Amino acid sequence: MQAVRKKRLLYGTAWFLLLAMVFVAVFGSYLMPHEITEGHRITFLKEVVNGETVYRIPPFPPSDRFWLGTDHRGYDLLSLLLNGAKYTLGFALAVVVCRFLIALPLGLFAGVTGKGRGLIAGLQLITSSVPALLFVFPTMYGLTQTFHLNGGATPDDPKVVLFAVILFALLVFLGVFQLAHQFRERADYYSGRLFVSVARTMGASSSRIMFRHLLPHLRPEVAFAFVVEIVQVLFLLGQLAVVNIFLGGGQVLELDSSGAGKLLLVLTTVGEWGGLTAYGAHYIREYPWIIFGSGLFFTLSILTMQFFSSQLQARLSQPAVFKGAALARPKPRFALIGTVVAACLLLVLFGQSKAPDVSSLPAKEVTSGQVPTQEPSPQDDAKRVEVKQTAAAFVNNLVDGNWAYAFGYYQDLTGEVGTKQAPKPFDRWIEAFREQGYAFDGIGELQDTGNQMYQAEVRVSDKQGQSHVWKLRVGGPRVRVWGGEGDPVF
Amino acid sequence: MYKKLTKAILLVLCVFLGIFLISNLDKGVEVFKQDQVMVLPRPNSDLGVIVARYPDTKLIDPQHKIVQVPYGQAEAYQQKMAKDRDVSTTMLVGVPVSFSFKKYASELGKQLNHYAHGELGRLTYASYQNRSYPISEQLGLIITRSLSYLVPGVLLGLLVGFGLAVTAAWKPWVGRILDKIHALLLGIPDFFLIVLIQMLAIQLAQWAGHTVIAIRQFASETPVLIPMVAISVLPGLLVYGALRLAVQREWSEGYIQTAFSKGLNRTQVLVTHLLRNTLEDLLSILPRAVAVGITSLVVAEVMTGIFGLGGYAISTSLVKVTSLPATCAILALMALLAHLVVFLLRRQFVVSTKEGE
Repeated sequence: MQAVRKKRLLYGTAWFLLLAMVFVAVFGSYLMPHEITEGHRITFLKEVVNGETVYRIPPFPPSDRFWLGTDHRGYDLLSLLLNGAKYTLGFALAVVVCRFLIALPLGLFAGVTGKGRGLIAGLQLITSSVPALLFVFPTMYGLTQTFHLNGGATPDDPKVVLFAVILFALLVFLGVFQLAHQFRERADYYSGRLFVSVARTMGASSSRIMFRHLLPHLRPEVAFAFVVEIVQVLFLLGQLAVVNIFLGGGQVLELDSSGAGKLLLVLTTVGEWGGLTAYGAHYIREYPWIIFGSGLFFTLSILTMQFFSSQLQARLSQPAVFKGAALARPKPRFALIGTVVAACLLLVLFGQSKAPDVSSLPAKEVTSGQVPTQEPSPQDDAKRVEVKQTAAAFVNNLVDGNWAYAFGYYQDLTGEVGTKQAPKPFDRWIEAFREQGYAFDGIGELQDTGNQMYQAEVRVSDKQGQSHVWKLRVGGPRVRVWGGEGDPVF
Repeated sequence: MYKKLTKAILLVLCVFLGIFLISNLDKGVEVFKQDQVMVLPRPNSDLGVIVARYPDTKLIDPQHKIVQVPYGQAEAYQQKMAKDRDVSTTMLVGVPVSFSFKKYASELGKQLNHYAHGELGRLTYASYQNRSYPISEQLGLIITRSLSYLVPGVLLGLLVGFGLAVTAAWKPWVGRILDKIHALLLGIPDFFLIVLIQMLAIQLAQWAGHTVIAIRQFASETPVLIPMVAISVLPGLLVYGALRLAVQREWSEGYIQTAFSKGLNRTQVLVTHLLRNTLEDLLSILPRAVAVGITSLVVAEVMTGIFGLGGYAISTSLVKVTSLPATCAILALMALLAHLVVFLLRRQFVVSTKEGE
C-alpha cells in the first residue's frame, strides 16, 4: 500500500513540476525580479572595501540582489532567463507539435495502407544515422554569416525571423521521419488486430481506421513520445547554442582582445536560453555564472520533462495502481486547477509584466564594460570607422571652406562637379560654416542603407547654439561622399 | 549479401547527398541580385564602352547604371570591374531577403565543381582577412587531433558503461544507485556537463596553485582529458541503459532459471549466459553511442577552444569558413563507419537464430 502511495505521490509531483515549468514559461516576465530594458541597466555598483569606495562594473557575480549574477550590460540573469523561457521552451514545443502533426498522420497512413513505407523507412535511416547537429550546423552557420547576425539584430528583424523559420523547418524535417517510422510500426502492429479487420470489412475508410480505431490505442505512446521529443529538441538547442546558433538575434558586445583584434559577441536581448549559453560559453573562466545560469535552466527543464516521462511510463504500465489516485479524483483535481487559475489571474491582474518591447530593443548598442561602440561585425567595424572618418574629413574641409580638398572625398556621379565650385547643398554648408557662425559638432549615428552605403548624421550648431542635424550619404567600396541633405536657414 | 551491401552503399550515398543538400541550404538565400551589378564610371568615361570590354555583360539600365552579368557571378564581376581603370566604383544590387531555388541550384553546382577539383572549402583568419586558405592544408592535423580524444573517449564510454552495467547486474544494490545516477546524468545537457567538468578543473587549479587539467587550447597545448571524458559520458550512459534493460529482460528468461536450478551462482550465470546473450543489444546501441560521441566532440571542442574537426568554425581566430559541409561530412562518415564496424562484429560474433540462414 505504501509503495502504491509513493508511486501516486511521484506521479503527482511529476505533474506539479511540469505545470510549474509551464507556468514559468508563460508567466516568466511577471516573475522577473528586475527589468531588462535600457533604463534598468546596472552600469556600476558602489562598494566600500577596507574603508575605500570602490566602483565595480558588470558582470556582477551572484548575490542577494542578483541571484544568478548579471551579464556585461548589467542585466539580471535570472530575469533574462525567466523572460527567455517562453522563447526557448515555446520554440521546442512548436517544433515537436509540428513534427507530430506531420508524423502521426503520415505514419498511421503508411501503416494502414502500406503506401510510402519504403520512403519513410529510407528517410528515417538517413536522418537518424547521423547526428542532427551535423545537418543543421553548416547551413545555420552559413545563414549567420549571410545575414550578418553577428553584427546584432532585433528579434523582430526579418532576417532574424527568417533564420528562426529555417531553423524550425530543419528541426521539424530532421525529426519527422523517425517519428513517422515509429508510428508506422505501431500502426502495422495494430492493423493485424481483429477489430481493425472488422472495421475494414464493414467499409471503414483508411482515415476512419487511423483516427477512430488506431489513435485511441496509440494515445499513451503518443503522449510519452511527445515528452521524449521535447527533451531531444532541448538537447539539440543546447548543442546549437554552443556553436553560436540561437534564436532572437541580440546586441553586440565588443570585447577587448589582446590578440588578433576586437572580439564581437552577440548578447540576447530577450533572454533566450541558447543566446545566453552561446555568450556564456566564452566566459567559463572569468564569469562562470553566466553559462551556469542558462545551463541550469536547460537542465531543470530537461530533468522535469524526463521525470514526467518516467512517471507517465509508470502510470501507463500500471494503470490499476493509479486508478482513483489523488489527481484523478474530482475534488482535489478541481482544487488544484482552481488554485493554478486563481494564481495566474492574480499575477496578471496585480503583477506587472517586465518583458521588454521587442521592437524597441537596440540591436547595435554595444558595450564592453563601459565602452560603447556601434560596430556590427569585424568587417563592418572597419568599414564604419572608414565611413565616419571620410565623413568627418569631408565636413572638416567644408568648415575650412576648402572645397578642392573636400572634392577628394566626393563621388562625382555626373562628372560635372569640379574642384572650384561646390555643388548643392555643400555650397550652402560652406557658407553656413564660413559666414553664418555654424559649428561642426561631429559625426553622429550611422544608418546602414544597404549596398555598402550609409547615411551619416552631421551634427552642427548655429550661432545661437541650437543643434541641427544634416545628412551625408557615404559609402561604396572605396568610401566616398555621394551627396547630402540639409539646408541651413540664415 | 550483395543485397545488403548495395543497401549499405545506397544508405551512405543518401546520407552524403542529404548532408550536401541540407548543409548548403543557406546558399539559396538571396540578398542581392545574382546577375546584376551597378557600375559607376569615372567622369568622362562611357559605361557602354566599359561594358563592351566584358564579353558576357550587357548594359540593361543606363539610367541606374545596371549591368547584366552571367547568373551567379555578380560578386566575381563586381570585383573584376572595380579594377577597371574607367570604373569609379561597383556595387551589388540588393533585393529583399528571399530563398531562390535557382541560386541554390547554381551554388550547388559550383560547390560540386570545387569538390571535383579537390577544394573542400577555405578559412579566412581575423588577423589577415584579405586572403583565405584551403582547409585541406590543415585537414590531416585537425582530423588527427580530433581522433586523439574521440576514439579513446568513445571506447572509454563503452567500457565504463559496460562495466557499470555488469556491476549493476552483479550487485543489485549498486545497480539501484547507478540507475539513479544514470537518470540524473541523462537529464544534463552535454554542454553543461563540460561546464561542470571545467569548473571542477578550475577549482582544482585554485587549490593546487597550478594547472592540473588543461581546460582550453593554448597554442599547441591541446586539452585531452576534458574532451575525452566529455565524449565518453553520453556513450557510456547509452550503453549502460541498453545493457541494463537487456539484462533485466534476460533475467526473466527460462534458461536463466534452468541455470540457477542446475546450481550456477549469480556470477556464473552472468558471465556464461547473460553477457553472451546481451552482446546483440550492445552492438545495436554502438552506432548511436558513436553518433552521440561525435555530437559531444563538437560541443567539447567549442567549449575547450580546440581547433579540431568539430570546433574549428567557432574559433575566434576565424572570420569566415566555407568548409563546414565538407568537415561535417567527414564527421558523418565516422558515424557511418560505426555501422560498418557493427555489421562486421555482428557477422563475426552474433549467432543468427533466424530460420533459413
